[in-house]
Amino acid sequence: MAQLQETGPGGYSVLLFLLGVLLLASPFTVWWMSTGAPWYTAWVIWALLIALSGLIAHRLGHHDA
Amino acid sequence: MTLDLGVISAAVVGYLLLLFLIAYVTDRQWLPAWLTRNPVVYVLSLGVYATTWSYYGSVGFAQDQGLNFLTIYLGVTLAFVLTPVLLMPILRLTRTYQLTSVADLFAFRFNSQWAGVLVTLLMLAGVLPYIALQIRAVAESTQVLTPESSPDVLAFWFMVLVTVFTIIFGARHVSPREHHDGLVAAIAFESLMKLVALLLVAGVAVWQAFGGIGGMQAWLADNPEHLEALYAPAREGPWTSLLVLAFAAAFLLPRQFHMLFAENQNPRDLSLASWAFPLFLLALTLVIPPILWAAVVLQPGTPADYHVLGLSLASGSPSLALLAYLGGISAASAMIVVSTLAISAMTLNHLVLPLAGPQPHRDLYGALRWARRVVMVAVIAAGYGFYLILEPTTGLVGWGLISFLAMAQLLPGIIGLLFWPRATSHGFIAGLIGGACVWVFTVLLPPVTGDSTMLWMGLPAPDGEQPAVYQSATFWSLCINSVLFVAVSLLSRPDEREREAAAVCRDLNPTLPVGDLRARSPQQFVKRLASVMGKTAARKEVEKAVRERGLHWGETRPSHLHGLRAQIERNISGMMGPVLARMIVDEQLQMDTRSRTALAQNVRLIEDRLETSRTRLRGLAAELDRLRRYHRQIIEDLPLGVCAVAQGGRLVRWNPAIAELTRVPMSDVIGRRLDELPDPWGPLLASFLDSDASHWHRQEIQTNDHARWYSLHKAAIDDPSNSNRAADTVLLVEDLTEVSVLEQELAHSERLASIGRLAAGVAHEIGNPVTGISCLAQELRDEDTDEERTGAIAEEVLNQAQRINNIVQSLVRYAHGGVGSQRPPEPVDLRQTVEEAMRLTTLSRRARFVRFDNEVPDGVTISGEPQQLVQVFVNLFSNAADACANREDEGAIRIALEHHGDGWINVHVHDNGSGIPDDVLDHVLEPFVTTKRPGYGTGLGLPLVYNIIREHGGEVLVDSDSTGTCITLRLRPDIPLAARQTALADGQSRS
Repeated sequence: MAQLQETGPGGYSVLLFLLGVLLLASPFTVWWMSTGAPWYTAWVIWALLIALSGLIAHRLGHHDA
Repeated sequence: MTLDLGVISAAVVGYLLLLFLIAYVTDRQWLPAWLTRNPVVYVLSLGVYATTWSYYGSVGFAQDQGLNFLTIYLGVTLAFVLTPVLLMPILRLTRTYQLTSVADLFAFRFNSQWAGVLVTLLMLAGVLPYIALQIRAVAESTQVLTPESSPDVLAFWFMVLVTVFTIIFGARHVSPREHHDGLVAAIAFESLMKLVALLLVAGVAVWQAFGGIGGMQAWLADNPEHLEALYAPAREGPWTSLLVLAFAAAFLLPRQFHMLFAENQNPRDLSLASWAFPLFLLALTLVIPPILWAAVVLQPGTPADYHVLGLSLASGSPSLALLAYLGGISAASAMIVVSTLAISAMTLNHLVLPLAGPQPHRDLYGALRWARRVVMVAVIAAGYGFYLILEPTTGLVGWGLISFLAMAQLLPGIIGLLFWPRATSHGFIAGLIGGACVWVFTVLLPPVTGDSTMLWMGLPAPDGEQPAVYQSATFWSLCINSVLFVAVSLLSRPDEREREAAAVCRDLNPTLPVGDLRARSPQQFVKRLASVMGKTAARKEVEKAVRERGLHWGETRPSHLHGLRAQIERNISGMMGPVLARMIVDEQLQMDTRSRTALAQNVRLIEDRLETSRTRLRGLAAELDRLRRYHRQIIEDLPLGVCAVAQGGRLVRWNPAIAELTRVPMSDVIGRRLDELPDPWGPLLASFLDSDASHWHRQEIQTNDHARWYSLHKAAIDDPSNSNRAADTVLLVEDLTEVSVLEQELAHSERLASIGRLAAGVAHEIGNPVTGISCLAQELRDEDTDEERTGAIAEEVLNQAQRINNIVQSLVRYAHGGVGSQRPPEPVDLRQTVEEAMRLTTLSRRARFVRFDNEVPDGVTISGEPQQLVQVFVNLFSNAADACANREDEGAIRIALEHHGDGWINVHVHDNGSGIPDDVLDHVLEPFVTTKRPGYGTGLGLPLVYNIIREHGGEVLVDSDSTGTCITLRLRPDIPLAARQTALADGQSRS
């Protein structure tokens, strides 16, 4: 990932990806699935990722400009 | 409730006709651009990802595998989260190098036709079952609505209609790289249709089953086993493997790659899609569990894969059932159309065209169009063939995952492509073959052959209904793929082209072009390309590239021709694939390796590339770039005109100052030879570059009927890295017009001041003849003179009048010799000039008592302006007379001439005055330096002499001591202007 810049959208997107992996593909995922969480919990997490992704996209737009 | 087959058929045909209409009016641009080119349309078109598998199969998948069904969309979201580092770089590559498919991308990166062929074969093998799945879903969904219908017949006619649609709207352009606006609009509409239909079915079903969301929540609280059934498979099942497969499928599925990259109008659209498309998928999947639970309550009596249709039928509304059915038609048709478009481009570029070879005598464009249509028909027909032979017991999800796992085999390659320059084509091919073999034997063959014997690898027996098999298949195929990819890459070496492509993929600067092209103009490009493409296609391609680069047919600048060559390669790549394009361009538009590209030319190319990748420089590289910009800015802001000429006489630098003074913009000259510049600059600079002189002073240039003066300087630029390399040259152009005008005005003022000083003498000189005339007139009036005497008096009056006239004429000539008197040089007799100056000087009171000895012989002439030379001697004589003023005895000024052996003539002006003090002697030619008392001299006399003699190609030497001063004027007798400049430059070089 040598192309990343410390404060650029690339860096943030990788951080968000890692957060997504933590929430969706780690023992943490099994944990929240085992807690009797509401059926829509996965969609809430998903919506959170989408919202943060939107913020990065907004920043990417500024970088393009 | 069932529906009539006729109604269903009419609805399908009507719906497909609506799609035709949408695509048609969009292509005809009957709809406003803000609508058809809206980023939302692009985002919705990505909804082609959701096929019948998603639309119908998700409910069945959720019933069998609980929340695992969501991985197919969460994986996509994770891929889109990485848009800035994953999707954007791919988009940049595909846009820049006109890559139309994932096979093009790999063939470009690894510079390997085999890479393209293997990827195409893998895609074909992965996509054809997927197309079969869509046809099957259409057939089965029709049977759900009308159990008595014949699924194969309806599937066949559906396939025919979709094929016609694909050919009409997908093969309109020669290059698949061209945007298919109509097709995209239709696909976006289909995505909207899927979403609306699914939301409506879910809403009605939940309302019917539970009376609303609250009721559903209460039902879940009463039946917790259903919530547990949702979570349990996800905790224990192939959650992570499915995430990986969906991550790969998000951008590597042919239809996704095509819509994401080939149909992208603007990178900002992808930025929007990075969150908007996952949002679309979220909305699409949020209703799946409610539909599943509503089906549990309502018991529609359909297989779980078709609960969407079953619930719509159970609602009792034929309209809702038809809408749900058309949602499925949308999902199936969109997938088939876009996949066929993408696969046909791959197949044509990497399987058909390499086998067909160049056929210059055929209509290339027509042949490509027809070939694409034939391939499209063949692909859909093959999909239909798969539909007929595939095991019908395999669920919808099974075939989808088979396709996903095929795409996942490209994951190691895509990571290497973007982040590992050391990856080689051998490594990629080895990894791909290894991974593909695992894929074929574990998941592809068993459903086709019914054989489930893959236990030799230690894998569980493949079973299409058990997604668990994909866990081990994904792991092993990707492991073997990655290990082979890395190991073989490390054991093999990339060739130069591969390294160059790797640098391009990493957004690093590729190797700079070496040498000029053999084709020297766009016309020659056409001639060379015609031998493989045919004359018509070659001309059209070159015309297109010339237009896109903003060039013209007379272009000969090497750097622009390099750019044109690259553009043609990209355009052909968009039409025929990168490998063929590179082969055609390399063979037909070769480099002339004997010629060498100037270092400065490379610097300019590097600068251009740095401008576009500025934000990626960090650390020392960023500091060096800032330093480079600073140094460049120094040249840019220099108030002197600067141009640099590389080997071959081509201009590589042209700063704003020279652009302003020549009125020739930089863009028009960079890369041109000096002699291609417009008059008068081309001939002037070219002759200066060819001359041995380092400086040319005060060159007069006529621009728009105005004279301007410039000094030219030049210096060699050594190549610090190669001492043997011939030097480039930097030329400086100094605008002296303002200084020259000022000097002329000063000279004129000095001349007028001289006239003022001469005024008393003039009055005296004129007074004498006037007195004489007066006396003669009195004699005529008062005395009775005879006729002879009268004639004598008249003669004397005329003589005196002539004497006055001579004085007046001398003054007038002297006064008018200043500003605006730029007459062409003429032969000037030196003796007569000295005489004239003597006459003028002796009008001055101070010079009246000085003796002049003019020893200049007759017949010696120089080329120049007479009045300026008169002023030279007037100034020298005035200074000499002033220096002699304090002498007790008579002052003397002697003017002598000697011929020097080197062809020069020296004119010496000796006086026996007080001499010039030593501390002033070195500065006496500078303006405003004077030895006279304040008010008696301006200090401009000798500087004026110096300037005039310099303009005449001469020199001024001053020698002085207590016995007097000797000013020596070194002049050349009557020689042309250019020779004078050379001589002058030689003289300066010596000094």
